[in-house]
Amino acid sequence: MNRQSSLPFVFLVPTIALLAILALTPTLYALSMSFTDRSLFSPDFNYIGFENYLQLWSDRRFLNSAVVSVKWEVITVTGTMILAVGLGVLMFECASPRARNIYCLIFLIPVLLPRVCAAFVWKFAFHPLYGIVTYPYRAITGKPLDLLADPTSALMVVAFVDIWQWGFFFAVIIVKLLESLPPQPIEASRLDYARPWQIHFYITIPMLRAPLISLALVKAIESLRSFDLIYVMTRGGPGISTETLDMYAFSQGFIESGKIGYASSIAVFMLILTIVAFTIIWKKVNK
Amino acid sequence: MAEIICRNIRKTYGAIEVVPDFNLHVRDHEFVVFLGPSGCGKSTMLRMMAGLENITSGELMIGDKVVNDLEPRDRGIAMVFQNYALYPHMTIRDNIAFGLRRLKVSEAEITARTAEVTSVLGLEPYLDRKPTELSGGQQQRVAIARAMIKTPDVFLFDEPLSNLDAKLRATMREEIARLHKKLKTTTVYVTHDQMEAMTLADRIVLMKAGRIEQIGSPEEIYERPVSRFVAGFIGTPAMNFIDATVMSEHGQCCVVNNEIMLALDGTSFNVEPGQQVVLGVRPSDLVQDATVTPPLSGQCDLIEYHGDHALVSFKVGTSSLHALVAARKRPFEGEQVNFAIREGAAHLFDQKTGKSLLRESQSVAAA
Repeated sequence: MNRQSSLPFVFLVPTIALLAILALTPTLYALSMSFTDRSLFSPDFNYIGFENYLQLWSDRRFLNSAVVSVKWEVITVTGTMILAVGLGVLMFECASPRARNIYCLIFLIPVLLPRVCAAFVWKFAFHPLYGIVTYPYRAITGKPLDLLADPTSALMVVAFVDIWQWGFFFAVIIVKLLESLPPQPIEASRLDYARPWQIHFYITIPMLRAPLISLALVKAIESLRSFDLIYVMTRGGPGISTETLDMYAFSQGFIESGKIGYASSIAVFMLILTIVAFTIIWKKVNK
Repeated sequence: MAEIICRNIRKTYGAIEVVPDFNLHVRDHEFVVFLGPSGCGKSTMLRMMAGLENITSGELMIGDKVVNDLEPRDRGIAMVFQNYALYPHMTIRDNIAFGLRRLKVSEAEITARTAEVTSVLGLEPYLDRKPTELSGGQQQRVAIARAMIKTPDVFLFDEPLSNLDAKLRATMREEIARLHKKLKTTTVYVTHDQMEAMTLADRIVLMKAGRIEQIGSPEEIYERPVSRFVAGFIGTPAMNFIDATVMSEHGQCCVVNNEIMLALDGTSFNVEPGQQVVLGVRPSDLVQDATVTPPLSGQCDLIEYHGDHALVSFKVGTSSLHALVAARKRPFEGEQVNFAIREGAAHLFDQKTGKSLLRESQSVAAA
């Protein structure tokens, strides 16, 4: 092998080896554990084949968490994209380039905050007795308002925090994307009787289709990792109304029953579901 | 159909004044070309007419309306851009129909009108393609179709042919000329290409540094340039300029420098003895002359062969001159050449102001 052709391997092999150890080992370990009845209470375990997986389908709490996960994905991704596009277009239309830069700087702050901090801050803001968000309701009605204790509103409140963190950041990206577009089609559409909102609806947003889809996919993957946010704000409660798949796996494995094998099967199921879903979406949008 | 009136239009970007004071009356059905070097404010002026740039002060009228504060869409104009500015994600059909759809014209009428303009411009085979699948010339034709379908009062063209190759440019130029003949829509056309200006324009507005240098028909501008700048800008190959002084000998008016002495018809020029002038002669107005003492003689140092013609470069003293001669009669490099100025073809400009010294009566008579 000459120097020319060995060089790529010099760079690639250590990285791939490291990645294999760090990422692949736990994955494979979880996979193998998902076929056992291992628990935290005893060192002994048996291989039980697909029993964990079969049990999942009769576990109503698991099915609920799958539904919550899907809801969570849909709400946070669409919410973030709507906020980001709306705010991005608004900044592009109404703010001077100078003001735009200042807004961008401010809008970057939420995403810079560690998510656990954001979760604590907003949890307190939604506090039924002391929170600033609930203050107007208290002031008017004199009664406390506990949105996080209500099964219907809890998921919305947590999703709101997630959208707050990412929507503003994406708005910054979108305003920069809009600025990067060639100005002539926009000018041509102004001459073609298009009103400002029509210019964006028919011209700029379709022109940004590819980057917007990429952004939505990035957010979808990011939303899958919202464990810390949900853990701090609701721990899956009230009841199981905000319990996503990863929350449920965590509580099965470490909090409630210590059933590590069962928890692993949930995690593996989630992995497969994610890979399949994203492959289908990716293929569809790239057509 | 409409006329355009610009009154004292001024445009500044911060402290920089791009257009100081622009006055122009474009008549109904007229084809006016803004011509000038880059940065002369011609595109800015056009964009102000389109409403894409704000007018700092002054008044712009299209038809009978003052349009200063109207949105581009309310001005009754259509514009063709240099880089086509098509909507990249739409098919050609949707590109052309976009404006009419915004106006909520019925689909049946849109189909009929699209068919009409596409047949004029030969675009039928491409209607379902995307802009990137078309060549530059076809894309520009789509842009023209998109402008035409709106049946505007005024067409604005912003260097529409600059991105095309030379051959296509000539074809498209002809096509635009034909279209204007047919539609007779008032048109303002910006270009830096004098060939386009000369062939398309009813009147040329020659601009320099935001000001109008001269307005006139192509012929007027070519034959009677009002300044040295206009004379140098219009005409290929460019006009020859020779610095000289006016003298009066035996009542005969002459221009003289170290190398030449040329008698002039004193009645056609506003000159005084001792005045510093620039003599301008177009290369095509230099004729080969075998007489013993022709005014311009020198050694030929370069021949550019153009096919029908050849451009002969020769040095008279310090100044390098060009003459356009029939290719068959071209001299050899290194040969001594003698040229005379065709009668009445000389131009004189004041050295300080650059203004033409041709007598007014003369230019009026010619116009």
